[in-house]
Amino acid sequence: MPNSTERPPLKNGQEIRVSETTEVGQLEPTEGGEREELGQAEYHVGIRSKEPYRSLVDTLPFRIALVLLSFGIFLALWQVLTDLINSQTILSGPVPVIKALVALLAGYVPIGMQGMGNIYTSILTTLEIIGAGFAFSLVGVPIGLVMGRWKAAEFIIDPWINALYSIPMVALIPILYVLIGSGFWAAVFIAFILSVFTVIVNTYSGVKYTSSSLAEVGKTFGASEFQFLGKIIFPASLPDIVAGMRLGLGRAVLGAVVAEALLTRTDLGQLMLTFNEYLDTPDMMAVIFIIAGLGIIALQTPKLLERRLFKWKESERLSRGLKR
Amino acid sequence: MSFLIRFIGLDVLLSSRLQTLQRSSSSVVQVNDIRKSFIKRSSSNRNGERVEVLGGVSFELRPGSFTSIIGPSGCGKTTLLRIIDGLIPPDSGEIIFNGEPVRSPPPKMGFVFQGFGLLPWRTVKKNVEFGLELRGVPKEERDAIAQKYIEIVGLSGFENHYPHEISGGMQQRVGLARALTIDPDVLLMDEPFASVDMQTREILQKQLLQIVKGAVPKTTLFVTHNIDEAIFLSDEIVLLTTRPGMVKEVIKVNLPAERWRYDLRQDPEYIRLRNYVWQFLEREIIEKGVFGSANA
Repeated sequence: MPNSTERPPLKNGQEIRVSETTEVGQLEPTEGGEREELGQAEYHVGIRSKEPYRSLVDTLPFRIALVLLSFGIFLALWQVLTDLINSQTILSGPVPVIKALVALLAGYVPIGMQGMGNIYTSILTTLEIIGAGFAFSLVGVPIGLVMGRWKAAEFIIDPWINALYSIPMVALIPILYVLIGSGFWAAVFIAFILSVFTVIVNTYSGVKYTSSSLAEVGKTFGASEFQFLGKIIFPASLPDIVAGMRLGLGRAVLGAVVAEALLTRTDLGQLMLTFNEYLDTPDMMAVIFIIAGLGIIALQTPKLLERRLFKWKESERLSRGLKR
Repeated sequence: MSFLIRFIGLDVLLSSRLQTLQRSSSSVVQVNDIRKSFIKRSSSNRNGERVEVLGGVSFELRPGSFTSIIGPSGCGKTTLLRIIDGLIPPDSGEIIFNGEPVRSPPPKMGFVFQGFGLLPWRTVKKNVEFGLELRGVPKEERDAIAQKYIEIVGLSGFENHYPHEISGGMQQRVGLARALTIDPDVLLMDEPFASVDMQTREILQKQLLQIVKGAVPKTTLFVTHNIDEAIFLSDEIVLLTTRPGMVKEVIKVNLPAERWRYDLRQDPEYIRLRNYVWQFLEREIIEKGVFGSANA
């Protein structure tokens, strides 16, 4: 059909390609060319079935709807449970708790909190403890690198890590109280000690399981020990290191709150207990929600960072997934 | 490609360089009686048994030549190549490279890996630059050299792609470009095209030959188990026996130099060589019972 608007451009495209390859020789990127040609063919013939398949779950409105549904079910169950128990001091319903939460966040200072400033002063202090504890725990990265790289270091350090990792850290609080008191830095220390092992262990396993073929590449090109660590081992295990840091941050949040409740008796951890003593259940539960919120932020923010940092890895995984 | 070379006047320069390469009579690499065995542990044998992989291998590489090592699978081809590069030590024997014994990977040896060996977090360009970066070549110089070899292997336009974004054939061209940037005296290639499809493989073979026999003359040692590949590419083919690998014979390939211009498949000499090598391999595989034994 001479009038067909669909086929001639395809033929043209093919002709250009052929003449190019004969002129320039074999050094054209053939694979890319093939892909391009495929793309053209699809475009011109107008095959739509090749569009990537998207299920309903992948669309944003549907996802939001699912999250809202999940919240709705939670609130409903909560309300039912409250009605069954029917005691404001044991379990408050969603309405008073949300009211208390809003009031706290608006700067209201309930009984039991006088002289401590509003809720933001407490949140800030807790954040400082989390931040400082987590920052110190980053020494786990070099420790993990050294452990993964040198057998001797592994044998020296590993038994200690195993021992300390398996002790419930809360059990150390009485000893810590005697040793370092109950101030800000004691809380930081607990956040640190809870977080650091996760960082060490993740870094260590990332380094230890760096693929031997990558190591061989470094060896062939004559990499020095320093270059080997910096240009092969470190980038290769960076995804594991960052994953360890993310988990470590979560544990630092836990450590900070535990330390405040059991050791320093200040801020968010202490508020929980104080409101409990005053039988102010809505405020107590509001504080729990604030702590949960901090935990969620601490765990989710690095995820965004991870996605940015490891574009090469993310898409590698994705393209592999599509091929299967 | 060829018109490009003529255009820059590289052809005169290249042929003179090839001649000087061939005139120097001493070999670039001497492989002297290399032996290597591994301890193979299994569930039935805790202490492991000694498996002799290489049983005294000797041959040498003439300057400017393209040599292939071919042999049944598990005959220690890859082990041999890694020993030549100094990645692993032999049990006995030695490798002499440019007159000196090899103990660790020499700076003037380039290695192309079977699994490409690209760093997945680096773009094509950054991967090509890797060797130069380790050697402390300044950035501008590095840029220029990398760009030159990216063009030679035909990857212009893909500089900023990550390895997972390009095909296997293209990834191996990155591997080749990376090995060439350090201006090696010998290029070692370990079954570089084993994991790409047949069409791509043939194209890559032609390109490789055009590069190491034209644009960037190199002495090349190529490990393969593909007979056609070995004959098409090589000036000399080293036939390695079944484990323990030993040199059975070094055969010369008397085919035209610029063989990418011809269809060799009908050439009587090509057919003769092909039959000869295949009969050797068949004998090795069937008589020595490679079937059933695990490969190394």
